[in-house]
Amino acid sequence: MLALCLVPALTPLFLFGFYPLAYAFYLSITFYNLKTNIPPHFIGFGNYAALVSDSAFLISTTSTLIFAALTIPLIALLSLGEALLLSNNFKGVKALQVLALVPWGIPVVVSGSIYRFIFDLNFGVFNDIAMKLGLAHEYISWLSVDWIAMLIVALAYLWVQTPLPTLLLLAGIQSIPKELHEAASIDGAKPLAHFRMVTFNWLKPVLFIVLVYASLMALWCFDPIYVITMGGPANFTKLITFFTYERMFYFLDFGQAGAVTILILGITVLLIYLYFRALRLGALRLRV
Amino acid sequence: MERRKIGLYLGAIVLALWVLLPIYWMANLSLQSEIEIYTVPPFYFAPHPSINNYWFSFDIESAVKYFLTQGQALSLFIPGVMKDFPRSILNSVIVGVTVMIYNILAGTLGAFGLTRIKFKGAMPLFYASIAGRLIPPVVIAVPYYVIIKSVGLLDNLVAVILVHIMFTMPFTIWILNTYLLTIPTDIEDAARVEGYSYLEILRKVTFPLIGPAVVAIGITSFMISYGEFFFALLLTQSAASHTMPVIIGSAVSVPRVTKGLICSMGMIGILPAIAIVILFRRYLIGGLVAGAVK
Repeated sequence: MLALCLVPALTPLFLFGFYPLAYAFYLSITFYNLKTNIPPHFIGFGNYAALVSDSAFLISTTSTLIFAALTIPLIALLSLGEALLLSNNFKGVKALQVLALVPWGIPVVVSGSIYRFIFDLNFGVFNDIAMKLGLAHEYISWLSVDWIAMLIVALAYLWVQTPLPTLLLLAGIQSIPKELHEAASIDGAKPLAHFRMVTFNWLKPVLFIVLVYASLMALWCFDPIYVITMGGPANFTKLITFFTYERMFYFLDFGQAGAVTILILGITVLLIYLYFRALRLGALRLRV
Repeated sequence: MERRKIGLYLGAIVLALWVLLPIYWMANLSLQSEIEIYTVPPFYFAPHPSINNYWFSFDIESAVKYFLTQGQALSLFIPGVMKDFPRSILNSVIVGVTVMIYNILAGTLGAFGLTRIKFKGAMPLFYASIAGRLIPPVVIAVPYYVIIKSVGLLDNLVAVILVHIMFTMPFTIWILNTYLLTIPTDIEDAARVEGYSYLEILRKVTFPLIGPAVVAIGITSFMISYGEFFFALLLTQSAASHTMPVIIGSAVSVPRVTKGLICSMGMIGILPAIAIVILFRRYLIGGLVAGAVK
């Protein structure tokens, strides 16, 4: 009877989360293409097989891996560095802590627009700076150079995605008991050993959360692609989410789109398991 | 020691520039006229700062007239969706606030039920709610679209609100759950002995105790919902239900777009979120931390 108080929280989750998930699984093993006259029917792993032999899919899997390999470590390192900096005591650190959090409030779409304008071919400021510094001899269309386009997307994404991990890590650092630091100092630990033994060890659970967060966001990244490159140049920045979006709403191939999404889910779960093992967290303390 | 200090300040300056430069560039463009923006090389400081673009954001008709008097030389393009901007800000706030209130009410109730009322199935339900966070948004896009279409809620803010609630709820439950488990239950037990019902305890005893966590999840869910683009793009089609990210996201990719207008809209659009970050920062740390670190 009292379990009724869970109803308002869990109804949306099951109705709009788990039910659609089950439906996506059904789609992934069904031939469901509205551009053909063939009625939907069961085809087992046919969609998966079609995807694996589809070069467009392989390209966007590769670009997703590149994007993930680029942004996950960067988010972890940048936010750890920021948090370590902000945990120091110096004049103005309080104001800087607020400032560091500001991009979190900025919609990714807006961040993407800013970076798109900055790297614009003719009127962007970056080309002008590059010329003045002698890095380039003429205006370069940065967004049509594949790796640079990827970096620009990653930049717009990192700008808004580092503040929250920074906040979590900063809170973690501030909650380290003084005795631990004192003990390490008495033992005469050098700064690096001190960091590894005390700070890093203490931060492991938070780091796990940060890595999971960064991975989910990287695998699901859509907004900056839509705003900055639309998948170009030559599909180099067409991340898997954008690929799925196209399969659904341009190709109307719901079966294949469903199959991709199930694969994304699988990779997500696998990654989380790997971090869990790598950080040797033991039992995940979801409950204290 | 001096070297350490210099290092710290260097780091501080780099961090401040990293945060501020893009915002500065947006502000700079928003204060320039389109003629100035479409100049090579670009102006690092607006030569004749004007807030025209901010007025135009709310009155596209006069912006169109203004650009016509400027002559066709610029051949600028004002995407049609831009005229819905004032309404879209309102829509975004409506969606964000509704999602926030629902998260606070239903989340507190749910987390209270999971931690305080012992019943079979609490743990599986808890894990199920956390696992909800692992569902990639794009996975549920097609099924959700079909569901929403069949109940006739397409192009309605309710459709956007419902899916945002689904996204934010797992995080809410998780943070509140962990926070609830860190506070001692003595007072609640005493209240139960006094004959208070569970709901009275929640309202009078527990809710005030978990204040920081409630504020933190309220803000987090508002932020996620306010800036969400993907579902807002899929589910809304007309002026009545466009949210702010949809307007900016679909306008920006138009070639020779009026950049100044987009930048002024962006500046207006980030105001609510930035104000919230600055005002409630203390609660954010206090509330999220207990959930994340303990």
